[in-house]
Amino acid sequence: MNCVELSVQFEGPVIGPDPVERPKVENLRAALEETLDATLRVFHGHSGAAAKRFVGYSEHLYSDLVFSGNECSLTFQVKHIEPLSCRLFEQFATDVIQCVASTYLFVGSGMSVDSLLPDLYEDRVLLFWGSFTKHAPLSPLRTRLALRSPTCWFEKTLDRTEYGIWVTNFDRLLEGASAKSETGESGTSDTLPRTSLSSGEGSGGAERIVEHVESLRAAAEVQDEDAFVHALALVPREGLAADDYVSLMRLALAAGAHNTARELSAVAHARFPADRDVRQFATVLGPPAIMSREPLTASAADAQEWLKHNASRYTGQWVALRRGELLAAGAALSDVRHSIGSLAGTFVTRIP
Amino acid sequence: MSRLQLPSGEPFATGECRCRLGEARSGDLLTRLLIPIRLGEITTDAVLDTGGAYLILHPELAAELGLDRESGLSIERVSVRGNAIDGVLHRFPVTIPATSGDTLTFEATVFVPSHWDLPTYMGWHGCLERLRIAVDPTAETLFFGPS
Repeated sequence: MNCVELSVQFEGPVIGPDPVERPKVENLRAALEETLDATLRVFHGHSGAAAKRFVGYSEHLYSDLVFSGNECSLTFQVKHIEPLSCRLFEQFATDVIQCVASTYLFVGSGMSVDSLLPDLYEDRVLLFWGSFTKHAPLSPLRTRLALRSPTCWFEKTLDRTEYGIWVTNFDRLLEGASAKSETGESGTSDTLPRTSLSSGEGSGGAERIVEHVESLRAAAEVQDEDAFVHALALVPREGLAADDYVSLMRLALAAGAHNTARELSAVAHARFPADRDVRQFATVLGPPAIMSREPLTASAADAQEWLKHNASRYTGQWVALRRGELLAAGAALSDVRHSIGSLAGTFVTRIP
Repeated sequence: MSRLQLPSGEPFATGECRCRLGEARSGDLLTRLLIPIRLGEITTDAVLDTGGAYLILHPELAAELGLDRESGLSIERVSVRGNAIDGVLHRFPVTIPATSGDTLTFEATVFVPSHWDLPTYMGWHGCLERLRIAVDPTAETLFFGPS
């Protein structure tokens, strides 16, 4: 297969008012043909391939659209192109996924796409997201993506619950979106988090939510991540209030469902950007972010060398070192600090 | 420039640092891989734990860095490797100082347990998950860079 193939498959609800709409997918097909061309040109530029080889690139782009029941499949094939490196390939797939996730996550969040678009930092993400936002069916149960090339293979099925994980550049998107509320206080106790799950306006009744609380609590109690995720999938999300999300996030952390806690924080943040607790969870639980690369500064190699030869003599103690020399040792780190004045610029560790 | 490169010629890592093997508890039969990290103006070492979550910071060290309950998010119970622990979650910059190449700073989720008698742990989720890492145990070298 001398081509890169991208397939996007939408699965609509079996019963309900939101079938996958043919006109929208037709529009999506046309829009993605343009953006796929531009995106792959960018990646080929990054990969160092000669750009002139792809002047006639769009002539090699084929697409196909098939409807079957409540599903539709949209497939693109790009033939006779240079293979992408696996890393670029995966990055490309990730960009596509982020676009899909972003599109659906922000539906119903109250935020306008126009206000968010300027904050998107990757041109290729912007292109895809713009296409999906305009044209993609808005209520798929699942979106399946597959990207194949002669050397690489990437497949991903996105459930709605996962969109928060994949949304692009989430913190920047929501920066300054609204003022902070002054309400809310974090509780501290030795027991499981409060689960005051309530129904929001138009939720269709608290009973539907409450009936799942015990199973969520039980899963958290025994730290059963799988059981928690399974129980959470049954909780109707439409009626949840900000406090409900906070309770769910606390239960998810207790269950050890750390990815789920992050996903909940992203979804809650999109829905309740003004809520102080929700914003704090979203900030703390968000993915790590690279801040800077700097030329090397003082390393810790001399401290590690000291530890290699001397650690056994300081078992159970904190030690503070500078330039490979012991400054102080003690049972409490605060004692060590008192004896040397300040820990700034030192290497400190506790010897087990 | 890192010694590790991808087939395309792109550097795999942007920095290297010395790592060491050590115990998490006195008398442990298994050794752990410890790498240096800088938090604020203090450098310490942390167990590299690709199966864990968050940077789990010893409470005494957190106190020296000013990471207290008021500045973080108190959590009644966090499941950490099968143990239910209460503590405080923070967002804090973590730096890996390089002995060769570039020092790397990233913002991570930091969990400060109320009680902890182990070293500081660098877990995958919320901490390492955006880094490229490779280890040469014989040379006691960690290769790292942004992913």
